[in-house]
Amino acid sequence: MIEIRGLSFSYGKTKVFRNFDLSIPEGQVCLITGINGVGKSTLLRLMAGVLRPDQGEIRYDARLGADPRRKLGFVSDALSLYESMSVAEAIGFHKSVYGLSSFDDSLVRHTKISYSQKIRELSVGQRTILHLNLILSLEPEVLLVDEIIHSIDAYLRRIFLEQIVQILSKRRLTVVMVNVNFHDIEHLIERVILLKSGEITVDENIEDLKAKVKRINARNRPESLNILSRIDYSDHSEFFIYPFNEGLRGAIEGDIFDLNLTEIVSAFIGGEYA
Amino acid sequence: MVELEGPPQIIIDAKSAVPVYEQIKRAIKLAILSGRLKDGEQLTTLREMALKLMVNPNTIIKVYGQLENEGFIYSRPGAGHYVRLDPAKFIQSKHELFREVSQDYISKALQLGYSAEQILREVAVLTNIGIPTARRKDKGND
Amino acid sequence: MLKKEFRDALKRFVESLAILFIIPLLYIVDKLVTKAGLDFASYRDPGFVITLVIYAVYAGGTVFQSERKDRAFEYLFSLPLTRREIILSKILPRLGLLLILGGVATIVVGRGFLHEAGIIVFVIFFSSLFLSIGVLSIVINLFGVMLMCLIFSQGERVFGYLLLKFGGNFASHLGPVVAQFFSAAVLLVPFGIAFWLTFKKMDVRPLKLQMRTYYSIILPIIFVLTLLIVFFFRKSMTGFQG
Repeated sequence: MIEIRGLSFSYGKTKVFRNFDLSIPEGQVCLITGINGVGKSTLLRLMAGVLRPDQGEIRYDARLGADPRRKLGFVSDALSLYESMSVAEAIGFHKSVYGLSSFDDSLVRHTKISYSQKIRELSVGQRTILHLNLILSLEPEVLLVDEIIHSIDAYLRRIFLEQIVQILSKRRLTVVMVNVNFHDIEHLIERVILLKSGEITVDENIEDLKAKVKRINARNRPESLNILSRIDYSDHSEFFIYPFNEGLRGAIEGDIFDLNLTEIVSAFIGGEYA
Repeated sequence: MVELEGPPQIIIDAKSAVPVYEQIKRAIKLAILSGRLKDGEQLTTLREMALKLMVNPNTIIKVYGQLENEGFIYSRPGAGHYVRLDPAKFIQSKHELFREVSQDYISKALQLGYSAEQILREVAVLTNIGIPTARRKDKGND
Repeated sequence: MLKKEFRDALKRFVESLAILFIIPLLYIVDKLVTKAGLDFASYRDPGFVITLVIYAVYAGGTVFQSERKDRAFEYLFSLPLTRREIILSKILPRLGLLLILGGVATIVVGRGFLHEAGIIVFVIFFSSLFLSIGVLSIVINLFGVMLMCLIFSQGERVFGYLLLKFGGNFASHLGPVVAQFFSAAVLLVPFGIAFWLTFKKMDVRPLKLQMRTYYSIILPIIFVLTLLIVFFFRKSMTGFQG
């Protein structure tokens, strides 16, 4: 569905991506994560067409038409809209650009937004849900979601995620999410991509990742195992290892623990800060 | 004696490396084998299950698909999924689960240093007194 | 913090200087009025000219105003609109209104108005438009437009002279129009190209990072045109009043 080939992009003097490749198949729910400033949001913006690559290309499945933006739902933390428009005007403008004959505003009505309010007067939560409503109205094939779920309350967050699950239940939808916090989206994700310095350091299915990253509580460093990071306590240490396989289980001195996604990503990132 | 009713409470352990679909599958199987979900009873719909658990619908599709393949449920096109109680299969699966649970208990007890004799005695004592959290059928297990 | 405040203070100072350039603008208007042989005493005609000129500058220079004020560039670029569609939908209404105003002025003032003010208003609008992509302050934009008008009017003289010398078949009243046309073309075409190339590739990065192509075209052009005009004038332009 999404093919990124040879992507190079600089932000002024900073080269964010150099010859970057990524392929995302249709219907996959994909998480892109990494430390702050590594280029995750930039990548999403490039995929949305809001930033232009210096070199290389980002191609979408021909099914999306000549201009893939018509079937692309992009929500970023900038929540960009014409701020001096009222909610009603913004919806009308959106409808006319996308050629929509109707607009299902059930989401917006959830948040009790007044249609005469100006966009700039809305709270972050209201604005996020308005954005979501706008992009869902065009029945997107691809959703590109950038970190916004952190800045809204738990209730709206759930509504937001429920929308995504609803659509996934009805039809194929390719979702690319950029997040640093995934406790409530963990079970939606199929693929985890970790970015570091404009490159992919980890690209695994979530099930494989969970099988391969373990925490070992031991007094001494486990031999011949790749350690991502460690936490030292007075009487023992925690070692985060990757890759693990079941064959190693007998040979390890120490208790082996499974990890949730947050802990796994933290282990990878922790290694970078060390 | 309490008969637990209603659809099973499925709690996914995010920390477990056991894949999500496997966890859900086991929970539903357990509910069927323990009689909580009765023969012919309809399962929560695919979509609602995905919403409830905030799980990718593809995962639920996989779960229901595998359960159907293993003979625990059947689907009526457009009309949901239903529990199927194949008596032979039921007995076999129940036995497997029983063995699994027993192995877990016994290995833990052995680890603590108790002998087989002591374990047997404990089982006799506990089944006599009654364990509050477990469901028992007075007719005994088949 | 201090560095930023110092830079800001300098910026404001330059902007305030720009206000002084209202004077050459009035001068140009005065010249137009005189050239067209319009009645001095009539406030109507200068009124029309001033309105048209002010609107031309403002309309051209504020094409991206709403996106800048409303922080809507990211939204705009995420919409399924080609750059061509975007810029045309911005230009057409403004140009249309300008044409209507010009039409009304022509009807009221007479044909002469069109001949004298027609093309320069057009030049002002597009100059302002082409500058607006690189310039965030409308006042600096104004300054730029004045410069362009200066170059234009001198260019008009140059072409007028060339026409007389090499193509004197034109009826005398048509000559100035053709000279203006050529002058406008020489000035606006490269600016338009610079603008379009920049706008086509424009994205939500800070403006500073995207202006290299633009400046690499317009700065040499301005330099060359200014040089040519100065050179031209030094080569025996006696009788030509500046």
